[in-house]
Amino acid sequence: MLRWTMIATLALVTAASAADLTRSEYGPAWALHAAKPGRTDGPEGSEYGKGGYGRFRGEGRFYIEGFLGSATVDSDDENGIGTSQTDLMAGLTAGYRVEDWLGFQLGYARIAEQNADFVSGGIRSSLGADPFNYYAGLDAEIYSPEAGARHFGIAPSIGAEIVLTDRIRAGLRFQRDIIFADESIDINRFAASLQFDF
Amino acid sequence: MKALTLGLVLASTLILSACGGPRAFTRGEYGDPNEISMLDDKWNQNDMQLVAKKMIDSMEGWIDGRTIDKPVVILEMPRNKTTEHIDMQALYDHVKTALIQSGKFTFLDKAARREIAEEYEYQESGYVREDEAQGPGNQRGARYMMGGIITSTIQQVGNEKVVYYKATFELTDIATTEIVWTDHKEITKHFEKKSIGF
Repeated sequence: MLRWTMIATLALVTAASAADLTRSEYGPAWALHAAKPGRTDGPEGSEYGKGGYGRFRGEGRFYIEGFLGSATVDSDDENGIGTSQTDLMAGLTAGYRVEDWLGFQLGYARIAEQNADFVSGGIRSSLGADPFNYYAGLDAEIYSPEAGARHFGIAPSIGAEIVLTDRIRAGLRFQRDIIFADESIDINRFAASLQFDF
Repeated sequence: MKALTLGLVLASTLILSACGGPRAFTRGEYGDPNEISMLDDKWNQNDMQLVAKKMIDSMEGWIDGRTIDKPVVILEMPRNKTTEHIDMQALYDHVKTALIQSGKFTFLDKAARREIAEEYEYQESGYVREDEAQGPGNQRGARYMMGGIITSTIQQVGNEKVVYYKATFELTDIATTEIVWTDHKEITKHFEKKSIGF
């Protein structure tokens, strides 16, 4: 499973870089993020179309993030017999960043072999340090396994991303699902992510 | 594992609660003055630089095409016909400094006349050595008067706003009242209203 996660991570990063290189005039994908802003000492009219918003565009934007990785579900039944199962997991998060540091998001994820679904909603707080971005999130979620009842849970998460362009970020994230149920259920999700800002 | 979970929840809560507190401008860095920086819809330093650059280039082009030897210029009181505060003195100083440094124009200090007159009186009062005392009668007379005016038009519908500035400068021959040179710079800025807070 770890091998598949690594392959997925590499594939996502490569795809994002390749997609961006097709429209970059400055070479490496992340160089576009640091594209030169407009200046006032150029030729007459060279200021047209230039603004001062480039570095402040983090606020007020919708984003969508796809992630692919693995999930390990640890559970103990009422008799105290524990099981642990790791499978492929994928999901999608859509959110709105009201400021650079704060976003609200809704998410869906599914653990493939276990046919378990997660529907979540929460907040994400980011800390940018070009070209990287770090974030911590906290979601409330409904965990729906194939067998058994639905359960409520909370899911803190952390992640680190590299900002490839003004719109694309690729990174790694870890999420811990704390499920409130009679039996003990803990889920650890580790995934590679690719985020697109609108 | 429980300790890890508790740590994650605690860290997320701390980060998110810290982000919700009072905010202040505590992170900064020096920037390039000629880099376009447009944080609001008001007249800014970039507008001043664009106007000044146009006028400096135009005046130097005018003098280069003539046989006038270093004309003596005095500045007229600046006129701001817009609805916002514009530091016209800063704009004039920008133009004046560049033209003096070009060596093609001589500017007289109109603003210092009263202080200079007081200084003449003092230097002629007997306190100052006679061979070093400066007095009236040696000032140069201006041949040209440089004036300027800035006007603006604002259009706003919904979240869209267009701000238009027109800066017109002219050089008047004091002897004949003939406007011997004039030029203008037009600036149009488009804005979209965005939320700036949570």
